Amino acid sequence: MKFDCTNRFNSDIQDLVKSGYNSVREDIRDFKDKINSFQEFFDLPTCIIPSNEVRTIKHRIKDAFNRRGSSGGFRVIFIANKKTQTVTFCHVYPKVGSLGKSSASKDEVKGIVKEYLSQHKAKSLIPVTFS
Amino acid sequence: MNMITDTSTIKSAVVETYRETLSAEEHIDQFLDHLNEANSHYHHLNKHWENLNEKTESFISKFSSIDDFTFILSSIEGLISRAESLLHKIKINRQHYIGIKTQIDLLEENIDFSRELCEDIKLKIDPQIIELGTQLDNL
Repeated sequence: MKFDCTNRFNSDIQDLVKSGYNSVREDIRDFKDKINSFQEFFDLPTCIIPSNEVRTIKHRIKDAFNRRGSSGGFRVIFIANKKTQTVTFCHVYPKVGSLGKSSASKDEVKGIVKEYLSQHKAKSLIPVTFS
Repeated sequence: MNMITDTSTIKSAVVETYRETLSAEEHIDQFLDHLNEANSHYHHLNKHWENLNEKTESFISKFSSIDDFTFILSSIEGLISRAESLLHKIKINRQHYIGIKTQIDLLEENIDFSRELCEDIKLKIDPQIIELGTQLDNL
């Protein structure tokens, strides 16, 4: 199983840290570390674009720094590609706080997938590090 | 997106959602009734106290001797002492009001999550998003 991310995800993380969501990296790492296999990622029930091979999944994770449980924490959108056994983190946003939003709009989701398609084709997806 | 859920599963999901909606509505009504009842109790308590002060004020206006004032003073001091202990009891229970606020916030959060689920479903049935799913599959 491999992990990488899009440019958007990287800038999301930077913006969130700047805006006081200090634990976002650790919270995503905790979520990632709790899952043991690619299949577990692929089978998460919160799939927003279903597919047999390449699923787009939105998952709720806690915001430890601001002491918010998963419902008021972060939403992370990732693409799980069965063919390459790769999980690509595409977007992360908080539900509450200064950068909070209730959900990702249709246009955002379209943008997220298009960015993934383009970076995947250009082989420019970034290996992910949460240090 | 080719898998079709069997009809009985969809039917029972819809029935379950409807049943839970009615039940949630009932719980919210009960919650509001209790909240109104508690509010009404405090309203009566304060009204009662206002009347008490008015009566006392009226008594005082009729007194003139030092003895009269001394008696009423000790009576009012006794009243204040009881009132302070009552207020203390109310303040101890203040955490319940904070608890109510938390519950309301949680209710808002739960309703918001239901909205989010609806938005996610809308994505799953959107033709443009389905088309993107196909592009992903064809990678």
